[in-house]
Amino acid sequence: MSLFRRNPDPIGPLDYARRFWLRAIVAVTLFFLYAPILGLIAFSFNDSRRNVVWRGFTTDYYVKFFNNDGLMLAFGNSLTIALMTTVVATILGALTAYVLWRYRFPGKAVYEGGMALPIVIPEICMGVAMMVFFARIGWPTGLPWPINLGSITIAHIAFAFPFAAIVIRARLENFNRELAECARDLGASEYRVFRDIVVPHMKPGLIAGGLLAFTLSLDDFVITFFTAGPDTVTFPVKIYSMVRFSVTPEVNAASTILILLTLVVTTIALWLQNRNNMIGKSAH
Amino acid sequence: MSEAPIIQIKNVSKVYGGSVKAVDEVDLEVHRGEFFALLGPSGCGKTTLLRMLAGFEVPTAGQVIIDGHDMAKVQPNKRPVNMVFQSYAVFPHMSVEQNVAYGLKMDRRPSGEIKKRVAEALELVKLGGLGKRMPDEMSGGQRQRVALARALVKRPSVLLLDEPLSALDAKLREAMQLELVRLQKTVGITFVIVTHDQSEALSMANRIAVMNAGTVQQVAPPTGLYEAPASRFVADFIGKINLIDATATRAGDGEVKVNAPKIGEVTLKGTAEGKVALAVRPEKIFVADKQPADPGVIAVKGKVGEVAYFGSYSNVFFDIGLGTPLQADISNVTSDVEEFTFKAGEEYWIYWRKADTLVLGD
Repeated sequence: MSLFRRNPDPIGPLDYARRFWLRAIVAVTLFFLYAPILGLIAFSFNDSRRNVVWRGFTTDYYVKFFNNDGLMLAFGNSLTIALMTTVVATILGALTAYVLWRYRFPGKAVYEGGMALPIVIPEICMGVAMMVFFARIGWPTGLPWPINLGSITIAHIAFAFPFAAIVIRARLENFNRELAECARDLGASEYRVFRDIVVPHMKPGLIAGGLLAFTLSLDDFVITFFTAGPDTVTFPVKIYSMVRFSVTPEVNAASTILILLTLVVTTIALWLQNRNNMIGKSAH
Repeated sequence: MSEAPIIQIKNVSKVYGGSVKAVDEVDLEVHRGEFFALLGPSGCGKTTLLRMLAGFEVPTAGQVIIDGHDMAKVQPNKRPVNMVFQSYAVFPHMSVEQNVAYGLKMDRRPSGEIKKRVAEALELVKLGGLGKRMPDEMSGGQRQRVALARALVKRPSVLLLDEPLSALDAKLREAMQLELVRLQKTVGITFVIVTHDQSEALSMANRIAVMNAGTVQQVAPPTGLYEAPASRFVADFIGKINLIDATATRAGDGEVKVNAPKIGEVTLKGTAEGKVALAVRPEKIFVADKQPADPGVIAVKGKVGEVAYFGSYSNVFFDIGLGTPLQADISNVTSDVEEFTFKAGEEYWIYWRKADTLVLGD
């Protein structure tokens, strides 16, 4: 249904999309959601040092971005941390989800709540706590790359793995336990059941959980800010420090790259998940 | 049977949470090559019993012996039994072939043998040529065949089937019943099936154990269960039956004198005494305009109440002055509708042979 074409039929009780106020609210929401982002992307191509008036198209700032060693280093740091976080958080999350789903043990509810705590604790508290913790235990600084990213990575894993665990747990909820019993009945050991039957079922959850951990880590600012040192600057922290002086088109270009990267990763993950869902559907 | 039974269940109980008795001191024997059914209402413990045979439940007390070996310490993956699950449990991420081959792979059979046996098993369940399909490309009936092939390919001593036909539609279910009987005869493996559907059990099994509230009520061949139920519960659970409360006293060898309202005193074969139920199946009841003279029958006067038409027969309820009406299944032997139609309020004599009357204790 076109938004503007006149529809001669009277508006029915369920034709919400044809009511003026609802359309207006949707339009305003979309405007405030996407106008800033589109503006940011547009001005990354603006041929002017100041970010106010349009002076013509240029890709200079992308060239500048790729030639800015500080930014590129921060970008590399962020990607490295995000990849390590993704791998470890997904494995930890999967194991946590499996244990909580498969077994009954005393204090399970407490453990489940405790595990999800990093989701509800304000990030600023997590950040301060991490900073104090690493200072207290005397975490060594000045190590060579990439070992110097260890503290940030550990902090990221700590707050990202509960998200992965919850996503994977949700996927396990609709697992048909008869599948596991059947594999066992056919001669599989507990380990083979996990490997051959449970993990394939978890796969969409693993992908979604991993993606979540990746994006959480990639764009985290607060916790990273508190755990980062002068030689372990990440991309968001670097952009923040650049913005403190002025918002240059270079920052716009950097942000656009970040958006693009997130979009590509999300698309791949969604595509993979869709494909897996098609295969997994007949399980129920 | 001369051979030792393939399954011996000795005094087995399963108690949940210290008090809920799912299975209560059950003794059962299943013979080699038999098609055995566990029949009962939901919650009677039949599935728990089957799961104990498969090893997914551990008996609280008692002994499970399969093929001469005590199963107490044997894990499910080491037992000489295989199971067809209610949901079929076909692995969704594996092709039909991979599904069927899984059990053999776990046994580390050589790949040539696996290939041959998988093809044979698929042929057996009439899925030859569909080996490359994925489960989501198959119908429910086909998926069930995959589950059957996957269990049979391992050549178990016993095949366990947990409500295998409950998810199929009526037509397919009937076809599959015949198919299962054919399959069992072909492979010669002992089948133990759990079902709540009596017609399924009656039509397929050699012997049936009727269960209720965790205990076995009666073990008998289908005809034995239907024509000579051991208790009121079994009689009521299997098929339709008229039950009239009565009292009985011993009247000689294997005979009792039964006193029932509206019927009076009759001497019948039976052993139950005290408070009993006089029972007769609806299809064994006849209808006449005049009182029958035959001394070998029991006859009462009744007024036609509800009539339910089922095509080949009509289920007619007669009010004989007791709380519950007597139901009779009258065959519609003519296509003359006027002739077989019963009109409400009409009076008839209804009678049945004394030999068809059962005297049941509780």
